[in-house]
Amino acid sequence: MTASKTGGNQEAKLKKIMVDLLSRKIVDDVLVPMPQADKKSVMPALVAAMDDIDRAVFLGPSFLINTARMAARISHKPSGRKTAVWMRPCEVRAFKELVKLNQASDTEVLILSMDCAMAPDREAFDAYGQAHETDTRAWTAAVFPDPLASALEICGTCRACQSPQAADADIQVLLYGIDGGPVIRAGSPKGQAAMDLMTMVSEESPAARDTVVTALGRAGQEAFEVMALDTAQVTDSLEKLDTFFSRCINCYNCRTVCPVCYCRECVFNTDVFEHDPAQYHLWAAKQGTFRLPSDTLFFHLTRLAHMSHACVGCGQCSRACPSGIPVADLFSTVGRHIQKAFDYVPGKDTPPPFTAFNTDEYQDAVGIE
Amino acid sequence: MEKFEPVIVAFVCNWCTYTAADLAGTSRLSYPENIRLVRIMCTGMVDSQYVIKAFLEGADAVVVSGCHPGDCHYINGNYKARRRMKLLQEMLPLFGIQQQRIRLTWIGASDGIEFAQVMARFTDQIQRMGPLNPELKPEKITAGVS
Amino acid sequence: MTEVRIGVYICHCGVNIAGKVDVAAVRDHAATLDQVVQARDYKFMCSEPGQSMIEKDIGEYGLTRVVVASCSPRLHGNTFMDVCRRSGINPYFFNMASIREQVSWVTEDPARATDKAKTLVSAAVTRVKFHKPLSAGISPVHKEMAVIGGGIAGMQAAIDLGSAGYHVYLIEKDTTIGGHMLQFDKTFPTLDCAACIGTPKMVAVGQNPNIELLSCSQVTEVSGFVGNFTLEVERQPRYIDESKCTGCGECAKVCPVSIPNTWDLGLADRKAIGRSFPQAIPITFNIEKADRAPCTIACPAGINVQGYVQLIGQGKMDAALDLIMEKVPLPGVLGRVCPHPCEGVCRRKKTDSPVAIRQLKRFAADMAQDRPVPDIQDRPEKIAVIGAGPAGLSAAYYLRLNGYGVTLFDGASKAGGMLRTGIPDYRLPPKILNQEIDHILAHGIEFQPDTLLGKDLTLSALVPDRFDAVFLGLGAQAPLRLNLEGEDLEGSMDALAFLAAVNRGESTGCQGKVVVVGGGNVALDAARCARRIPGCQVTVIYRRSENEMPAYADEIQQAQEEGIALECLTNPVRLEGENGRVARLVCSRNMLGQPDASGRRRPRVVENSEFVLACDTFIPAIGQYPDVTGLDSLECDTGNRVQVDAVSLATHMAGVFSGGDMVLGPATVVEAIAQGRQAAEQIHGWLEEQARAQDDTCETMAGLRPDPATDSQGQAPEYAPIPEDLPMLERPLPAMALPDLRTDSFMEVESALTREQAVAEAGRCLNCGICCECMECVKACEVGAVNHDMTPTRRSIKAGSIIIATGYDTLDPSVMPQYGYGKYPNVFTALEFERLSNATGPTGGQILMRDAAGQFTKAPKAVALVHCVGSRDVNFHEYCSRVCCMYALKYTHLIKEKVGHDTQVFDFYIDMRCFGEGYEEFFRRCQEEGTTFIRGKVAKISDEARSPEEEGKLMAIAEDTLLSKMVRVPVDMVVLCTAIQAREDAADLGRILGVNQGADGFFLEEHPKLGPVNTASDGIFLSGCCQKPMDIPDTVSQASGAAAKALALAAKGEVEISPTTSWIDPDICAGCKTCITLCPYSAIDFDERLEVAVVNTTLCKGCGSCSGVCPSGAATSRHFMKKQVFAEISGVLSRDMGQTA
Repeated sequence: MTASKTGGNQEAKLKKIMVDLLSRKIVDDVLVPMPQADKKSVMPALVAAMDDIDRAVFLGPSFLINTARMAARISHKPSGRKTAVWMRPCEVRAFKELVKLNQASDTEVLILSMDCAMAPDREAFDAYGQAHETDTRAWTAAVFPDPLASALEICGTCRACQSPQAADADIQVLLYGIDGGPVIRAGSPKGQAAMDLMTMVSEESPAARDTVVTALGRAGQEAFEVMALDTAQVTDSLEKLDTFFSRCINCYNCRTVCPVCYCRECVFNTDVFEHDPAQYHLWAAKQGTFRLPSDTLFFHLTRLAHMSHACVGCGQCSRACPSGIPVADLFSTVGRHIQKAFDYVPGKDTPPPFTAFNTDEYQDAVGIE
Repeated sequence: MEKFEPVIVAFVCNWCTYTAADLAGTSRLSYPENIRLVRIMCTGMVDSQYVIKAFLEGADAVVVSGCHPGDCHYINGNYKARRRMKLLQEMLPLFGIQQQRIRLTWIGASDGIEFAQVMARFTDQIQRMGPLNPELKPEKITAGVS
Repeated sequence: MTEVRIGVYICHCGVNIAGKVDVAAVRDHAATLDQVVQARDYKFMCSEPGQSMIEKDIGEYGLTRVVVASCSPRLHGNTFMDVCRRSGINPYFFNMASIREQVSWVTEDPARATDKAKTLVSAAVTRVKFHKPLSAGISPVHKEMAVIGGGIAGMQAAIDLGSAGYHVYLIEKDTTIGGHMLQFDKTFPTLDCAACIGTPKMVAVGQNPNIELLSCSQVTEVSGFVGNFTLEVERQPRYIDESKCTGCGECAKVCPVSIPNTWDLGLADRKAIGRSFPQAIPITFNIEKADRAPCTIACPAGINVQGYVQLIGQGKMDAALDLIMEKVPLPGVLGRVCPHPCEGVCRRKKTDSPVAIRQLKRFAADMAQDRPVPDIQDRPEKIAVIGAGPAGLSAAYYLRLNGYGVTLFDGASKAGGMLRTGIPDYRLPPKILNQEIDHILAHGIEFQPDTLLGKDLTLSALVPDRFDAVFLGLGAQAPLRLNLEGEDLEGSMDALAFLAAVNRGESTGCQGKVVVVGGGNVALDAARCARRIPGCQVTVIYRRSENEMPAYADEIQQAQEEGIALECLTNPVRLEGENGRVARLVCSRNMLGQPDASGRRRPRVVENSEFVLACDTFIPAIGQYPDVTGLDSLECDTGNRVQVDAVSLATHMAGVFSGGDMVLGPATVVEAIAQGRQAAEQIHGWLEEQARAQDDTCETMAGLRPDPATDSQGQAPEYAPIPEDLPMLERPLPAMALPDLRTDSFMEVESALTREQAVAEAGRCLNCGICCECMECVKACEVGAVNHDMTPTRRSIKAGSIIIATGYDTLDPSVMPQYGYGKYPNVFTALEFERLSNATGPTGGQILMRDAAGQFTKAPKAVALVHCVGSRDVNFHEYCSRVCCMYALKYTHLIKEKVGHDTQVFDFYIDMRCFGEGYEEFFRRCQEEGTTFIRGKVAKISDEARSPEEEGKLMAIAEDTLLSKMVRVPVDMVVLCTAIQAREDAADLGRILGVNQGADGFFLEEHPKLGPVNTASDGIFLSGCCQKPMDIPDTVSQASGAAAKALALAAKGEVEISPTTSWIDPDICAGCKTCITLCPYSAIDFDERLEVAVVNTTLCKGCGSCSGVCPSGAATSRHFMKKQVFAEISGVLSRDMGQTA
């Protein structure tokens, strides 16, 4: 079979689902990736008109923003309107975290997700855009059915992802290990209900897919371990960490794009870190030298303390860093470590570690030998 | 060369450990001057930022100390503190700040003797471990507020 | 924000600080700090000149911030905040560096001390720059107040508060107020009697209209804050109505149960219904109850066993019988044939043997004179009871007592069912059975004999037309057949038929060699009846071994006594006949295999083990099942048992109920009777259309606690303790007819106990439940104050302030074996001595010692007083209990005075501590009275005599440290001055109130000198020995002190609520609700419109659990804001201290 055939197939089938959802009034609108003016970039858009669905791009390489934040924006208060949201697995995880923190609500949202099409790093993405604009066929042909076999540049974070397969979504689009069109599976009663209304039959995951998924998981784990090791090499002391962030310009982009950094106003933007001009001169006088912008390490360590337990490893922070600091490598490394320590899995519905406590836990944290 | 004198920041709750410290004082129980108390109302109030800040400003160790489990003046603040300290004890070692430098203890209002002993023991431990980030000049990495 | 101008003030605190810290250097360092415009040092900053120095500077230099480096903010923080307030600066623009507690007192090296002091000062200075002005909120103070503990401290506090016109709740966990002081005899040094000065206080409390006394009450929860506390109070039932009880004491006279009186420390007894001492306030009596006695729980019919046993002990046979007949109408029958599960669980067996409860029941039944028939209010409803066996009779009886018109049908000509036909006369004489049945019928029950269900009447015809309800109690009359070859031969007869014939006195054709098959009571009864037929030799064959026999042990034993042969592990195989009549029984041997469902080992036939028994009469007795003819469409199970609702006993036919063997299958008489009564109650309930969801056999009888075995907590039941010195007593054996006399008559084998035996036997009862609920007190009380149904009650009270006056415990000296307390009967604790010397005590105020019998009879000739037992002792309490020296002196005087001046008194002391007013004088007086004072701690009390004069004495062995030689002093009596220690439950109460304990366990005062009655929690005050050991004068003055504190609060009418609460910035809050889930006081609400969290400042206590977790810093704790704490952190870490001079 040819790439074009497969690719066309998949996009077409997904478009049909979206149109069905709208035409059968199962939802009022859908949040789907739409091409930007540059005909390369793709960003989420809330689409109500069925005709516009045709322009949507579901399985492309473009991953410029974590849709969870957008989904939160349109759902955190009841609107009386139902929406279908198309998200990559890591976006779904982020969305579920935001739901727990009252930043988003899934009551009016139908989540659709897929076996992830992965994302390239900046350069590779630009290159692909040059060649194919928003035509995804070449990309999907390469990524599916088995990303591991792909010749394309898949970014480090995605390579280190251990769960790129569709999960935790109401309707799941299964693509790994499957030739030809995707297999559609209901992931929840809500999803099942929607599929019933669309007279679609929920199919089970084929054995071939499971093999690929396992392989991906293993490969992800290996890639992650390498990444974690490399990261430790350059961050395992405060001096090294200071070096690691030498080029940080405190633009806070990493925080802005982070889907689980949910604060309305970051503490580093509040008056806690706003000082009287005289104060700076005083410090300089006192310390001899005073670096500006200040508090770089304090910022990153604080952010790690605040959200690493919820890091979904989407890699947006790295993509957003103007200085090209591999922020995501550090955050997902620390993230996994903390998640392990608290036995916490982002996206699953256990309460976040710091919203609860038990009277008889972590005795090891207490006492001095 | 002279003995290394660490600086240790102790965040102590007003009701138990601070009272114990006062008791240690009135009982004239001496302990190393390396200990610097910061009084807070409850260990549950200790933001992870406080501990991070202390290290970035050159503390060689940080201890948070409050009421024994069940005795918290605010019912359960110490349990919340325990989770937060657990987090820091997991996270900071990745950046070379060993767990032994990030401790949590329970010292009740009447444990003046224990307070002095624990502080002496802790100081001695940190002394043996040596300074944290000797090359790193605190003022180079963070804004002091002093 | 106004310009920051800081003044720094370093205190010398005399030499306390200046002695170690170079205050001048610290001052100079402070002066160099940014924005510091004035730095000074002074000898005593807290003194008037010190304070005015600061005030002056504030004016002169326009200071906007003040930092004082001196002692602990917990000591003088407020002092200096007031200085600021007075000088027009917001008190929260003040900050304090603790350079005494944290530096000079705890640092050895002066140079380092000075450096640390500098650091702390810069930290304080740095922080104060970022302080924000705060103003305290105002909240009203509740006018009511709560005092916890009704000892002398609590009483005094309550009286002071009450007489000031405020409403006081006095919460006492005991049944009376008074506390330890009222247990004392005299009080030192004035020797006025404790009662004479104590009881007026009690009366004053009782009569003060402003004092609401909550006795038997404990505080279980406290919420709120100074001026606005809410206390949850749980009150244990007295079982006596305070508003009715006149304290006349008639109830105690009739109460059969005696228990050790805790007020007298167990030296004397009181009744289960009683009071601590005659002057108790309230005067109301109370009833001590433990959990329901095991015998009562074990009784299938739920008879109040402990109750009637006690009544029998009192010789009140009629009362005992009434109590029994509340639950069973056939006491005489049960007294003979009941398998008495009650005796199986009797705790007495731990010591010797269970109380002979069945025998006692029989005794009560036999002794009771003519049983009166009560007047019964007739009701219109009619009820048919079918079957006049035990179930039917009891159903009919209790239905009739409820006033229903009852008709009792039976197929036989006489009522009694199995009781009459199944149980032989030698076990249950017809006279007894008739007597009891006649009594039942005499209540106005119509008996219709010879009326068979199915033949003479049909169910459908009875309900609903003729009767409103029907009870079926037809029992299990149909015999199980063996289906042996030859079972139809002449001479083979079923056991029930045989017994019935025997009981009716008809001829049975039973003769010669009789073989009975079975191991149950029926089999044994049949065998023993056959044995009583002249010329019969009887063999019982049973397929299992003797251990597995279901028959009662005593029946098996008696059968064997009567010469009946047992062939166990034997199976009948077939009967062989000669000319139509049974001749031989072929049997085979069994062996026992694995246990079956019933837990008994299943018999297995041994290969070709057949043998032959000569047999003229064959009587199978292998069980019965209900006969279901005439039951129309009633549902039955495979065993023919009628299916009923376990609780209501209702069959599926409306208005038809059933019970007894018919439902249970073959069971015991007592179970049948129990179900009869259950049915009666359920029918009554059904007819009254009441809920019938209550389990009868475990139904709470009047006042009984719920059966612990069935209660939800499932914790072990609480029973009266079994005394260690409980004497072993024989269980009486009733007279038995001699075996050979028995076998030629049907006269009763077992005779009743004698009156003496019965009363003595009842005396062996341990009264596990303490109160036996015999209800004699209810009868005795003329005002009807006794109510056994009372349950614990909870209420919540509001209070502006709380005074803790919970007093102390005394150390139990048995932990010091060397003093032989508990081993030697004449070693007493001080408190015990007080009771011995007290006019209301066990000896009426005579100081007597125990004789060999343990009775207080003779006076001591020599007494040793031992000081510091557990006090000033590193193994127990390091502190001095402060009162022992003085009360020991008091004892020396009392002994001389009461026992006589020739009595020798030896006072072993370490140091005499006579510090109070008139104390030293009292010491001198006692010395002059001739007491021998020996300075030295007693090492050992021993009873081994080394010389004739030591015989029968106790030797106090000590070193006389003045003569520095060992002494052995022989005495008759030893009094141990035991240490005062914190209450056992101090920790729990401390937790409830949020008050800390000191290392010694006593409650921690705010400050040992300046805040002795305050605690760290505003509005909660201490008085008396709950804070530390103290004597009565100190206690009373501290109580008044605490009262004054509380009154000050109330008089002001409002309190400042600390402004250091939390605040959430709505512009920053992301509304994640984390702080809401974590807030321990639910003080944070969610504003749905703005989607932000909002702090309710009146509930917020400022713990900062919100600010600690809020990532954006939207939640802040006032006065502990991030910027302020950051500043302090940087401050304590700043290193450029310069060189110390």
